[in-house]
Amino acid sequence: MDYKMAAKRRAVCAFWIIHIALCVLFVAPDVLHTAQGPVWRVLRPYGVYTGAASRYGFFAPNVPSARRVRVRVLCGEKWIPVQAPLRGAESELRLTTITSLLMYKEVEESVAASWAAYAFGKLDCGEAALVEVDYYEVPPIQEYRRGARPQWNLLRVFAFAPPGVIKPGEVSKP
Amino acid sequence: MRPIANVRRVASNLWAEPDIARAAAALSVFRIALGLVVLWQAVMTARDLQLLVGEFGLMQRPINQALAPPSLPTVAWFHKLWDLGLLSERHVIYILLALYMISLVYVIAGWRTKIFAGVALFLHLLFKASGFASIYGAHELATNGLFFCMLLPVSTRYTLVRNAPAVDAFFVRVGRSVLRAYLSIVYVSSGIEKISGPAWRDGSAMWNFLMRPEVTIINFGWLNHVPWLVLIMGWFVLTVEIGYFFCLFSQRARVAWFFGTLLLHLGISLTFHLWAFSFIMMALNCGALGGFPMQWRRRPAVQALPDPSLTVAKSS
Repeated sequence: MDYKMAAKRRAVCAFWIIHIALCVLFVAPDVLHTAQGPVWRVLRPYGVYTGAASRYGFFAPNVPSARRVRVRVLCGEKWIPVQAPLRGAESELRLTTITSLLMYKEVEESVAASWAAYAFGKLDCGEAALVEVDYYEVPPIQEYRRGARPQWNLLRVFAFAPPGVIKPGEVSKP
Repeated sequence: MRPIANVRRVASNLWAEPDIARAAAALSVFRIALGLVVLWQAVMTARDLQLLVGEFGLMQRPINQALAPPSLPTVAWFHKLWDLGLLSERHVIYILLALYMISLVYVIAGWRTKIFAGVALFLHLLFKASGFASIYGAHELATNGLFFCMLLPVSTRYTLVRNAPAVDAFFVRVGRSVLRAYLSIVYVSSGIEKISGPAWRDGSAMWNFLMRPEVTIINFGWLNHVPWLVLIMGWFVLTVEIGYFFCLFSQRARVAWFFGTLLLHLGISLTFHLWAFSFIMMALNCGALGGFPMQWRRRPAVQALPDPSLTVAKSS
């Protein structure tokens, strides 16, 4: 084996060892790396472009309850439901991801506002929009045996109005 | 010296490939399968793409941009084109999608794989960042998969190229080891996070999973009569995930884990309809653990020496 080939092999091995080590570091608990650290600021773009920065806690440590969004727009005296005209299972799956963002306090209002904006775009007559978030409650296995069944429950309601009518904000919380 | 020899033997098992030609073929199967799944995913979302990544889609651009890492490319990079009235945003999105699909076709065909995998990865990241609010696990795995296609020897077999590059056993071994190490990180980190809480250990997470509204194949309510089955299923998931790394030390255990992961992902796709996610995981597993020999060579038996007494009897 010539010298060039040996050097190439060594370089390839070294690259992959570093890459895998980075993958491990990125999945490690946050305690081990701070997002604001200067080293991580350099490493992060590499991780983002190569996928090394991904984390894989699929349905861990628990399976969260499913969320559902219902959007209604007030036109005159009528509440008209607005649905996302998505076609295909894969698009529906991505819609589920959007809906699951409503679990996070930091973004829930922005996500609901975006739904409302989309609904106002669909219906010019809209004077107000309600974004209702439901969650799917699954009873524990013992309670299921006693007759309890899974059901959708209302979690939150967000009300919005087009600019100039009233300021957007949360109105109720059951 | 014995412990060191044992460590060496165990470590060499990690690197061992019983059949290098099959290993190279498995890496090529990974390339084709990954390309097909990512292409299928792109086709399936093509009609709704503007709703998912457009400026005034379901999630408006500022939300997607706030959630996505700032360094990633987005459709907004091309905003000058519609600001100047040269093209509409819709045109730009679909031109980029067409380029993405073409590059994936070349990846599948194995023609200039490294270049086209690079182009596909860039466009994949662009669509991922543009619709960041709606991406899920399959997108993360596809990012990694396309990156591997860019750098690993994944087009030594099943290509449309007449003179496919010769199989270099060293780089095939490296490729397989990288995929195995990556999948170990995926499974083990997920498994550790699962086992850290009580929900997967006592089966309640499995119950919650099977009772979610997305699971429409059958009503799994009957499992309440056999709670031990829920517990077993939960522990099956934990064993497959956490045991993934350890299976790599034995060639036979790798085969068992290959089928174990296939079963796990088939289950996820059938119940939860996470088809793209499951098939990308299967493709990665094909590349990492597939290509095993169908028949195991038996250990050479110690040759029986002729009975000296018989020889003596004959000669006498």
